Amino acid sequence: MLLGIDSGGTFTDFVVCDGENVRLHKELSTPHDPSEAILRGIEVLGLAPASLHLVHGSTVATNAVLERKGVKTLFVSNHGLEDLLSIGRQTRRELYNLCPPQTPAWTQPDDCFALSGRIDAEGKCIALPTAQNLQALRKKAEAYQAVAVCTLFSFLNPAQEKMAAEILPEHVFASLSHRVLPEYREYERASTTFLNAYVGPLVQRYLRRLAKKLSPRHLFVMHSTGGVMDVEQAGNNAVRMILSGPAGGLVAATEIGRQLKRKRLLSFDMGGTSTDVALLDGQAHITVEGHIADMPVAVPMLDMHTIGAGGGSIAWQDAAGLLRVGPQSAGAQPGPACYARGGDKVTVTDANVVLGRIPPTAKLAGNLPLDVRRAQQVIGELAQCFGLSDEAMALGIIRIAEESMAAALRVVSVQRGFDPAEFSLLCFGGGGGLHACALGEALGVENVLLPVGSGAFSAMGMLIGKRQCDLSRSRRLLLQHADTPSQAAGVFAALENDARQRMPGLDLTLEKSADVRYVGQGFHLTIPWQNDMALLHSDFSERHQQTYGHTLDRPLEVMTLRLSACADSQSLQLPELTTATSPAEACAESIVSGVGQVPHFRRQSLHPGHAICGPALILEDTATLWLPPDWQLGVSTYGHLLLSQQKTGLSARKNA
Amino acid sequence: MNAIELSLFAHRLSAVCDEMGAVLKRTAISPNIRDREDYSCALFDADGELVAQAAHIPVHLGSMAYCMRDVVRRIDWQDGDVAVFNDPFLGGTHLPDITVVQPVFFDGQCIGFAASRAHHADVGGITPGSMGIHRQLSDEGVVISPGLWWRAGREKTVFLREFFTRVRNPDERLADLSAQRACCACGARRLQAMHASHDCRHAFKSLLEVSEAYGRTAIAAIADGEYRFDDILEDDGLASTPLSINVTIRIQGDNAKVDFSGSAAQCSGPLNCPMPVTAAAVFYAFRCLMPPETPQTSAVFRCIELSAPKGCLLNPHAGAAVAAGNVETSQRIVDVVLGALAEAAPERIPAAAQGTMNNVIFGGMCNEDSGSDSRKTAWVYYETLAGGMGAHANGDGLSAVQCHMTNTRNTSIEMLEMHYPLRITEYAIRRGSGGGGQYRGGDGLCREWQVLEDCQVSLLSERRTSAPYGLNGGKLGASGRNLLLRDRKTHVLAAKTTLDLKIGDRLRIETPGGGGFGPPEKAENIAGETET
Repeated sequence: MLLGIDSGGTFTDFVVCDGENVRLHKELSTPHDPSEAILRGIEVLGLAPASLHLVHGSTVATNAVLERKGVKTLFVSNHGLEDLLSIGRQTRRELYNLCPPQTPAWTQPDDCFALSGRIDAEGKCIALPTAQNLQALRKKAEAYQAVAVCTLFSFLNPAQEKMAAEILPEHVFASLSHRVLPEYREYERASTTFLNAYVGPLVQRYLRRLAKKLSPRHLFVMHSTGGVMDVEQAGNNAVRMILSGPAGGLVAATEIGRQLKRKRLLSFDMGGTSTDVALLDGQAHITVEGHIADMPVAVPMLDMHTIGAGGGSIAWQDAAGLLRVGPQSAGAQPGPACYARGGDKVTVTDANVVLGRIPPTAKLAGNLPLDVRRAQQVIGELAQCFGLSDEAMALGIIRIAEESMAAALRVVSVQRGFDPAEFSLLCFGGGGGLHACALGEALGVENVLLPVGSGAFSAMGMLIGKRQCDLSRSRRLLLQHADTPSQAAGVFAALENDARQRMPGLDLTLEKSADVRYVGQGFHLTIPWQNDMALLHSDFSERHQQTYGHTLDRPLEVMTLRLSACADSQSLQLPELTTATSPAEACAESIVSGVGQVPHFRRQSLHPGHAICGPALILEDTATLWLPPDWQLGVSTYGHLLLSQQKTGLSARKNA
Repeated sequence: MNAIELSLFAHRLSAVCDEMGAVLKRTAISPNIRDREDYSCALFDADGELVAQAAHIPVHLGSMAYCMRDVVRRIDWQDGDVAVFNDPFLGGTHLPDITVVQPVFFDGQCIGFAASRAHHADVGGITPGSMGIHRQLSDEGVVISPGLWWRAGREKTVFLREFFTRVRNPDERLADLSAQRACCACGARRLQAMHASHDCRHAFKSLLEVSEAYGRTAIAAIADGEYRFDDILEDDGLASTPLSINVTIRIQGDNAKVDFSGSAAQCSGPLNCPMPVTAAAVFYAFRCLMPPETPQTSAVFRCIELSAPKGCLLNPHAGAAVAAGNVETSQRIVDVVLGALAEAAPERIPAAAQGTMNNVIFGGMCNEDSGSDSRKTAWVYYETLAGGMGAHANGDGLSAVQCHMTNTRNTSIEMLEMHYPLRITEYAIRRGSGGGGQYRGGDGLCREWQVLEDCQVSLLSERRTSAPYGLNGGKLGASGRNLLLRDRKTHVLAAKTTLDLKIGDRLRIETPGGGGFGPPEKAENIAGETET
């Protein structure tokens, strides 16, 4: 039996699958010790111990970085480069801020150590660390829980880092850059190695304890590319868990896209303070340019784009009298005014309440009732500043919020050379349903999907995450050199060996790829590996043409070799719903501004064969879908909702 | 248009610019555009008024806002035209910044323009990279006056023929220019689509009217009065005479008059600063006083009246060398404008930042590592170095960051050493270089290169003998230093120089710290209080 568990800030979501049925469950999270909620949920679900295979999405690593609650960490690098993390890319964050606040540095000079010795750009050792220098390191490291070591060109020759590692005291958690991320670009490698050390001991402790409590059940953890690793792997590679939770959502999205035969999806996950969007073209894209708390995280992760607009985004009037929405957010505390928890700012959620798109009877998370009057009051006050009616004000706020979300989705597509109109929009998360149709219209997409289980979508993805690890090593190889294939084969063999050690006893599928570029250029494309250099070259040219619209007559070089190893797992079997025998029945109705009386439908009462024409409101436990007048809704075999714009005007007449 | 429609319209316009940027970044080739993001995309109304811009580089915002009106008037536009220019005296900044403009037509009427400006790696000057010390513009590269590269949908190959013959890497230039054209075409398409459902001309007008208020509100918040400040550039790279920059700012209500009378006459070296760059630096300083959400339009600067006598350093005659106007002089203009405003609004203005970009350009010949035939090829490597920001009324200045008019990224040390015969032996914060005070200026940084093959280096830097000023009793930031370490001896190099380096030499640059803010005694008091 499979159990997916996603520990979020507010809720811990559970999805159980026994091969036939899928069950969802929610528990309030216990942030001081996330395992409490997990154990309680397992008890409530009444799951037998031994046969259970658990996959966990955890924010332990993410929160420790965001809240700066990691362990005391010593940063070790080459002599002269101790400030590597403080200098970064030497850019400032805000272009027009003359008095920017100091953000606390990740490393203080006292917490840095200069290692002697040097490896050159060809991997040759110019000098090794001296015995005296190593002894000094040992002494200094005594006072630290974790040590991060990143020296230049360690991906070519790890001798310096290995000597440092050997001298470290036993109790220290060692994070070595040639182990964490053997790739070129010292700053990105150093920050990744540092974060790995900073959160490693915490993650290790948490997971070991959880595994012990759950024993003899098998515990696995989802990592940032949507694969799954065991507890020991996760402890040593804590930095690979930064996207542990959200990755599940994209894994589920990919799977559902496959089931519905819609390869091209724009995923849209709207939360309280921000909205995550991603582009899936058969599969989710992987990036090695992720960031957390302004620190680069260069291990692979699913490519997700976060916009600072969510349900809690605050609407306000700027210096010239224009309406702005965000970037400030009322967050979960105090939350929108309609939560009646002391929030006195107008938010996007309040605008939806005033328009009636969130009906007055809707319940908030935690079963709290809505305070409609409070929402009307704050919107009324803002509307007076603009000299508008309350409805016009609320509509304006929503249009501006939707405009920035649509713009973000458009840029995400255009950057990759895609037209968003060729995609389907897949909405999950709490607030998506309120804006799904408007966004669909703005982007010109034909189909909008609201998948089943969208309330616990990440946990669902955890059920289907594969045992997987992504390994890489930077090695500069010119394609036209005769020994490149054999050199690459040597690196791949080492990577494969590493993968088999990390996942012993499993039948692994290996995918080899390489970061290839024109000689000397600052960017690369990751393409599947070919032993035949001519084929590799033509594959590269084809991809370059597709991505950038041109090719060049220049030699090619490989910069980094990558190996992704995964063990097969089962695909998600969703239960088929029975077909509807009678039309969908409204359960209630309420007034929506500008439309009039609008019927309500319960999502669980909808079955394949049902069709609803807007306007309508579809209600779930903690989410609402607004179906505007010119939209219609259908239900798939598995219960996914399929929304599309009704053909009107000319095209409707043509149909007739 | 009401406040909501207008806000929506402004959103859409800036989204169009973001999309243009995505197209340019995706289709351009050179690392300078793709990686360092040294470009900007903008939309203009039919008169050449800036209505939206996605800017990464402050010098682009102000210069485009300042000059496009004049450029637009020079051409009798037709649908399908594409114009190109880089002439610093006809709307450009310095020669490497090339601008591509396309008119947007709807029903036979020109409704606006889409434009992109990008820094090209080489424009055919005497010095590779076109950033050397020369006496006239024509030695710095090919000068392109505003003209049509495409006319009514047909390419006029003759227009850029000379350019493509003279530049060092014509394929790359063509690809980058084509990317700029694709980016403008994308902007034009989006604008046409918007216009189809809503009259853009009318909306542009409303947006410009409203956005004027952001600038005026910011200036009205400054006390009326006349504020003066002066500072110097140390030399022009040829003679060692300091060049003074004097500013007088008159604030009256919501208007500002910025006058550079009394500044040095134009110089022989490349420190001259054409008016659009002067304007960009002044606009940048004032833009920092406006709220973050201020739209990127030319109207926000309508409240600023700018004057600089013809023939002075900040408004040179056509033909003067200008390569460093962008990268050095512009920084000092910001220093004097902020220095003058500090008297009026001491709580909002920081002490001086490092005041230079520390341009370092290496060049040499090396064996090309591209297969069987080993031949010598030329290599050029250009970077700018960060330094300290000035302290301010609320805290210390940031250390080791790009200041004011630039914000480009550094190059990875490993990347650098893999491709060039150079080795970095130090890259560190220069502790103690920030000026003392109640709040300390940010520290500069030290960077040291060891040379692994004979080569040449050019330096264009400032604040080597002068120093970034402190405010309200804060101390000066430390001046920068350019050092050559050869045969166990340390030689101090000039601020602007070109010299040959031998294997084993080390070049060491120490960048200036920012100025301090408030008297140092106060800092001690505060420290004492927190201790007890």
